[in-house]
Amino acid sequence: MDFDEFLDDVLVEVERPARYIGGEVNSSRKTAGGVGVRMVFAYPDLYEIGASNLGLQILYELVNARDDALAERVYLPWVDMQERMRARGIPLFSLESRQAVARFDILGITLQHELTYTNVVRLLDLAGIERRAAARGEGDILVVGGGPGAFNPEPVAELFDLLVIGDGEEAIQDLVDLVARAKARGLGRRVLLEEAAGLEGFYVPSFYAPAYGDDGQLASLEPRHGAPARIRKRSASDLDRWPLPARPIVPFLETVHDRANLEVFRGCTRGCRFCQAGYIYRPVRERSEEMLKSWAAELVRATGYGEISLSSLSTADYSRIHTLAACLRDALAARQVSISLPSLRCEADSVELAALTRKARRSGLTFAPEAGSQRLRDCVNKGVSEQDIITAIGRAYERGWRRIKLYFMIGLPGEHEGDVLEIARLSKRLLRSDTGKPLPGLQLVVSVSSFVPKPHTAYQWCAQDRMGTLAGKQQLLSRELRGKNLTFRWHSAPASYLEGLLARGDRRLLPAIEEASAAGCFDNWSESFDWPHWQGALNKLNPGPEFYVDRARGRDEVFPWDHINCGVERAYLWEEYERGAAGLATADCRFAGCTGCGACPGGASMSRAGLCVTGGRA
Amino acid sequence: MQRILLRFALRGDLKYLSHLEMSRAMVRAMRRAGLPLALSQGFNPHPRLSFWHALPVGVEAQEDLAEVWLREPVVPADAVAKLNAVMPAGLEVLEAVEVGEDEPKLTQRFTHALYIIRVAHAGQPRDARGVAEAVRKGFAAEDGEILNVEEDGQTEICLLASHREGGPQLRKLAEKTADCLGIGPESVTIVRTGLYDSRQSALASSSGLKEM
Ligand code: SF4
Ligand code: SF4
Repeated sequence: MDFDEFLDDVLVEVERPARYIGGEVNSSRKTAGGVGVRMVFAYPDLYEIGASNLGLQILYELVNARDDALAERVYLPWVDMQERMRARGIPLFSLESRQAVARFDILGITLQHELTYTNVVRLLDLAGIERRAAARGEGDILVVGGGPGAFNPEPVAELFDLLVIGDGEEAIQDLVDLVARAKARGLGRRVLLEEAAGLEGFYVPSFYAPAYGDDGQLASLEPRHGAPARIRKRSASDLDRWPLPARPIVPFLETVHDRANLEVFRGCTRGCRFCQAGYIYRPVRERSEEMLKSWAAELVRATGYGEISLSSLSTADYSRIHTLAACLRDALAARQVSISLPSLRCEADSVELAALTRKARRSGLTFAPEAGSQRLRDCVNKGVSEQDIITAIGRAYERGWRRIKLYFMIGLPGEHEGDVLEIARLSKRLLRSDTGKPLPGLQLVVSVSSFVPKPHTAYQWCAQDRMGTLAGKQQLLSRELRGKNLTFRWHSAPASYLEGLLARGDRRLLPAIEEASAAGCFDNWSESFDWPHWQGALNKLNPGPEFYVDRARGRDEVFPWDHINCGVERAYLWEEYERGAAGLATADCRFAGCTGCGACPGGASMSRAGLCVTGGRA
Repeated sequence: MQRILLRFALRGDLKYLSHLEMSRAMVRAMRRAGLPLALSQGFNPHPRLSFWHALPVGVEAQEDLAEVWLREPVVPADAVAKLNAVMPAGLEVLEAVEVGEDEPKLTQRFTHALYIIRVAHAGQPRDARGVAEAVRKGFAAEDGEILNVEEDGQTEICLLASHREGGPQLRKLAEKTADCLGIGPESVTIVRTGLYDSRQSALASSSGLKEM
């Protein structure tokens, strides 16, 4: 099959042909000759969404750094390209060497978001790979999953031969070693999977058999073939040992995150009770300031980006963020490269930090108070007061910003109508200064998303608001959030519902995902989010979607993700849930000492050993 | 401040880049090469870089032009070497020349272009004269002058176009050519071979081709 010829014929006809040409600066030019393990990484969404993903960039560079392996990439083509591929019988092929995906040894798919699950099915179909791991045999590609979705992979677990839970830096080496050994010794698929199941962080879904009770609940997920009852996530404890990609690929296309990425630290222990990332990536692991400075310089040399983003879950929490930001700004100014911080705390201090790094004030600032009322902010452990927010925005105004975006959620556990109205009241209040004077020219964009309970959080037991309830709250806000300088934005309620279903679902959801995929749902891409098709597929579910989404789960109910051990213990999460209901704050262990979540192997002692940093901050 | 004219080529798969994508690739290469880019004034400063008219997606250029302003003077030949060391495959700087600060814009200095319209024909060779006639009949004056048609395994039509008033719609021209010859548009490709300051210099450069 000649993929070059195919592309030559169709590229002028499709949207954004640069999605398919490869050849980007720093992309791999390794050829298969003499190389042992051939791996292809897939992001199950469009190029411009997937290409920015830092995790895949890290793994791509690590695999290509090995002498005995190569890595290539593939993204999901847009529908115009999919149609042409199907019409000509062209299977999905890699960007680098233009080889059929199915002919690689390993396909690594990242699960970044629940709404890409239909795309995973589509990707396998386009590649001509059997959907179910059980249907693949000797000589077939090994389909491996990873990313945050792997912390509850059950809805799509049967699509994967293997899933890797947690940080990929070490795990990818183990995986490549294992496949190299299997190839060299001619080990069968089953032996390979049994060996994999013995490695930390490796989950082999086919080795676990679910049983369901009469009430529809999962009764058990029994391990077989010597697989462990629980799979402990991989966690790279010393990030300085695992360098950031020195030469990340520079896409031709404008991507969703069109700048160089400097991951300052991993994890966040602020302890917001709704936040899955905060729990599953614990503990906090900082990169050293010296390393970050030298990486930043190297990144600019290797990519030519005009902006470096200091990316982390809550970058302003880096223990030496002010000195780091100032140093980078000065060092990079000569090359006309600016730095940016994606997330700010609702604090004046954070605004100063943004002012330090950003000369152009036009781009706007974003704050996330999350909830409108103090009561609810206390419940979710968002330790920020109304006064903090007012001061922060006042300071941003003084510093020249006129466009400010606020993130809120509706549907948080325990929310009353009064809390929703508080979003409107607070937003209007923020148009005025500390002393109550109007702030002329200030534009507030109020973005309100719907809360989705996620596995491994304090709210994993909670019922999600029904679509009708959410729509009512959105209507309330659109009535109340009117005003000259206020813009109100909200998220689609069906998309949140679906996200909630897939987030806490089990293996019984797979047929619905497959059906939605076959019906052409290209989710996550709002233009084509196809709720009617989904509804058709969901109607056939037994138990129905309400069993998963709008039902409060029992304290001791078996969860489909119980076998995935993210470090944070279930008992700790339950305690957090109860403390939240009582409006009690839980302090960040970096500043107030270990609260015993379980994520550090040595618990509090680890934090005292310096993993959770307190030095250098006021 | 130094103003530098860059002659460059855009080949292979990079012909599928949009104009914006190509210009971003160029800016990034300049940053990788460490050129001291001058920035524009204003809210959102960006490198001062301008291009000749945008090349349509799918058209290769053996010659395209850009101009960039630098804060500090560089030796043009050094800039070429540094840039080519960091360019993506398919973008190549052919030459750099210092330009006076008061020179008019690129699009005013370069007004004419030569194109080769290539028609792949599976197997059956065509008669050059017949092709020339068919195409000439189908083309309008604003599409440009057909200088030559050659038949050597594939048909090559050499076209001289004026870009004073916007220039020809190259994608449409490819379709038109296909229509004239009764073939599919995927068999027609267009390559720009050069940019010129007048019709005369374009003609001079194409001499060697016999006028038909
Ligand atoms: S600050 Fe809160 S919401 Fe943000 S990453 Fe940390 S825990 Fe999550
Ligand atoms: S175990 Fe203690 S120190 Fe470690 S992340 Fe959890 S609360 Fe923080």
